[in-house]
Amino acid sequence: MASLSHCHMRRISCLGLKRRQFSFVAYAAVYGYVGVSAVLIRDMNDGTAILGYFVFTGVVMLLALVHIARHFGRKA
Amino acid sequence: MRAYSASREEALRARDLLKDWRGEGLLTAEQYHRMEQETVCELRRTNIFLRLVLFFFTLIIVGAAVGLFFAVFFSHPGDQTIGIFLLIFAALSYGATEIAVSKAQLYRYGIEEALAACSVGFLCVGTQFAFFSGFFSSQTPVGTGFLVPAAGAIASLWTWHRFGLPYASLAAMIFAVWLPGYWTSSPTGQHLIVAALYSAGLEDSELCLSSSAKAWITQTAQ
Repeated sequence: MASLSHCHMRRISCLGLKRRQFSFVAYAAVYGYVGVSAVLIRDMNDGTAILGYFVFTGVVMLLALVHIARHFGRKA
Repeated sequence: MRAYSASREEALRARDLLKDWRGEGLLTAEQYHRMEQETVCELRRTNIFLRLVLFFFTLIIVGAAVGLFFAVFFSHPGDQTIGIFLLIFAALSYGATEIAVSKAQLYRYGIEEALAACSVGFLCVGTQFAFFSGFFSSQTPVGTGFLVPAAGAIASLWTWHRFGLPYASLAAMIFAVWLPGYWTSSPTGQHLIVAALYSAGLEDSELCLSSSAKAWITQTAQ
């Protein structure tokens, strides 16, 4: 399910980047992240590990999105 | 007082107008490019979708980082310890907002907005925990409970004045609604106090707008 969600997220975000439709990228980022995270942390029982997961993956997602924004977003 | 100078915000508005005019066919490509070069601004913006997503992920990171801090360094922290550290995190979040605005030149980018929102949230929750022993305690000192919404309202108003985030003023209004409940039990009295607070806020906004309009007229005349 996680890999399916990941593939779906990648396809939608690629479509969004190709067509320069940022709503697709945003949709894919949020829903993909929520879907993959829900599956991955389902079996985690350690609160510290879950929080660490959110910090690490959140930073990775933020950096990736800032990278996308720099290349495709609007610079004033 | 404002983090962004009036001239830079004016340049951003001018660029938006240019884009609109170009889209409507009022400007040729050559005119558009020439006028665009005259309104260059170093502030970094992004579109609304990425702005929302960046806001969301910044909230996740900050919230999880604070939770991780408490999970790693404290096994069973007391309410006052939590409150004091949340107040420290509020200050750190605000400092990060200032750095994001002044160094990274972020403008309505989502990241700095989420940091500012976190600083207001941490301030309110931290004040509650530090001075009133948590949310569910019955030990709230009489007469000082208004400090939490007052701190939230003041911090929101400051955020609005400093960074110009329109929803910060809305947050200040929501905090202001909670204030009279600590002072009087009469519904009429509460309504009157809220009305007085909103009138004062409106007057303040009008003064700010008129002063910025005067500054703009003076700048344009020069």
